[in-house]
Amino acid sequence: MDDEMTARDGPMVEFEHVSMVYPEGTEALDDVTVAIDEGEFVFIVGPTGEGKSTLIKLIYRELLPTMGRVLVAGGDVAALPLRKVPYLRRRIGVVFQDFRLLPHQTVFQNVAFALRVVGEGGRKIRRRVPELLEQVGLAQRPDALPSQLSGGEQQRVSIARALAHEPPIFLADEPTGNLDPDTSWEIMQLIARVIAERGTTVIVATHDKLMVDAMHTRVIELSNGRVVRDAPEAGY
Amino acid sequence: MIRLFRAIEFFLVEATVNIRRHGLMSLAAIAIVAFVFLLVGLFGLMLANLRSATEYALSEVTFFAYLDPRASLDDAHVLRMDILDLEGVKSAKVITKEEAFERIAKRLWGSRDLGNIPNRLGHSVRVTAIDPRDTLRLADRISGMAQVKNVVDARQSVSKLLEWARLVDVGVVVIGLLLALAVVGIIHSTIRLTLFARRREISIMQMVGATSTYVAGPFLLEGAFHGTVGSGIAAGLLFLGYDYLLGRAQYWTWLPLVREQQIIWGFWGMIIAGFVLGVLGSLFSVRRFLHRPVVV
Repeated sequence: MDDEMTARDGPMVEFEHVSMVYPEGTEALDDVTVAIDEGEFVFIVGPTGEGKSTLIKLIYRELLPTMGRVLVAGGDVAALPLRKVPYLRRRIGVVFQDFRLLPHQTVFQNVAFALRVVGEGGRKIRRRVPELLEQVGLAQRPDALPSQLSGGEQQRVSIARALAHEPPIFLADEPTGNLDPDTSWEIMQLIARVIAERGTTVIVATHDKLMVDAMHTRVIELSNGRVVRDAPEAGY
Repeated sequence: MIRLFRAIEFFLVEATVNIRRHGLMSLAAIAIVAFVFLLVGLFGLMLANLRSATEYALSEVTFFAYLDPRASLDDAHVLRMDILDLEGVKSAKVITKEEAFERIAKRLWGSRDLGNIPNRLGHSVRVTAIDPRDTLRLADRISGMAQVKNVVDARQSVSKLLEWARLVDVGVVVIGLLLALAVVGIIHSTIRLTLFARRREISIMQMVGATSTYVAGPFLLEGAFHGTVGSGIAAGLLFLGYDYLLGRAQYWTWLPLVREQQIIWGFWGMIIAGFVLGVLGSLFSVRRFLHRPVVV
């Protein structure tokens, strides 16, 4: 799947009649069929609890669909052996509303963690982490702890970590949910600039109307787990 | 190879950080493992001594083949040679009827001289088996030999001793297994608590593409550390304690204790068992944890 992600035809992410019912019976997605091409910037919108996060989790194989297929770079993620899942995830950067940083580790260590856990050496880490921090505008604060940073800065650290493996796919689940409007805008600009300009496929799940309207890009709207709108260059 | 070194370095660093960060939990785990191994060791030492005493008692088991009173001393020596030819015989000694008579006289009347009482005893051969468990088989075999009138084989005592030896063996296995399970359980619970405390970190590792080896490695090391240090402390204490006891017991002839040299492998075995059970305990916890979905 790694090689396929770099040189291939067809959608980068594809949902084919995907339904997802949680074990306790909650129906999160109902017959969703969408295709997202390489380099596209897509918003998944809809109120809370309409299946946006589920859709994101299905892409990086946190969940498996109850029915249908989720294809990443043409490969069915459900068919991927367990031992290959980590390699899929190295090709997908993910950020969340709550940043998910390690509280006892510095900015540098948080970003380096993504490289250390896949066996990268110290030399590469010392070279790569400052580059990433430079890209997200945190080059001056490598020794700060997450608790010493603002929400926006913490999200920048989380973006830097997500970019550590130069992923061709970037997923964001409510990345501005904990941020004020100005900071949200900065973060979205950062995502657009740093990630989208490199040809990365970006999928952002959000219910931030102002953001979606301002970005004016493709919008997929979910309601009751179904796709009710799929419009290019649209607003919320 | 470089990747392997990096992985080992990562495991060591993470395990050290984790042990330091959860110092109290680690201390508790080590203390409990040490306590259980102390029990294992005490039990093992008791069994080793019991076993040694049983073996000693069994090695002392002899039986007598009595010849017909009309048989000559030469017949007794011929019988002795025939017995020595049998497989499994350690020793065979001729006891003359005169020696036997003197012994009886001494035992019954406290004197070797019985005056005019005629000696109607026959010669006999005292037999010891190489393996005490062969005693009864040899006794049956010898009782059918020429000139042998009867064989007195202390059948009841031998059976009881053999039964006791079997019981000791079964006890070693059963209680050893139970205590091993207890150690696995303790380490399993401790690592599970650690895993729970670090679930956020683990989920981040899985999210950024760490393989199961990288996620599990530090926890396996941690389990190995708890197991080895705990069992090492127990082995050390037991060794010193037993050494002290041996020093005190050297004049107690009624208590022939097993020397440390004979059971030194037991102390090393405890430490190795601590390592293995520690790894096993954490492996069970980590395996269950790895198969859960990544949820922070």
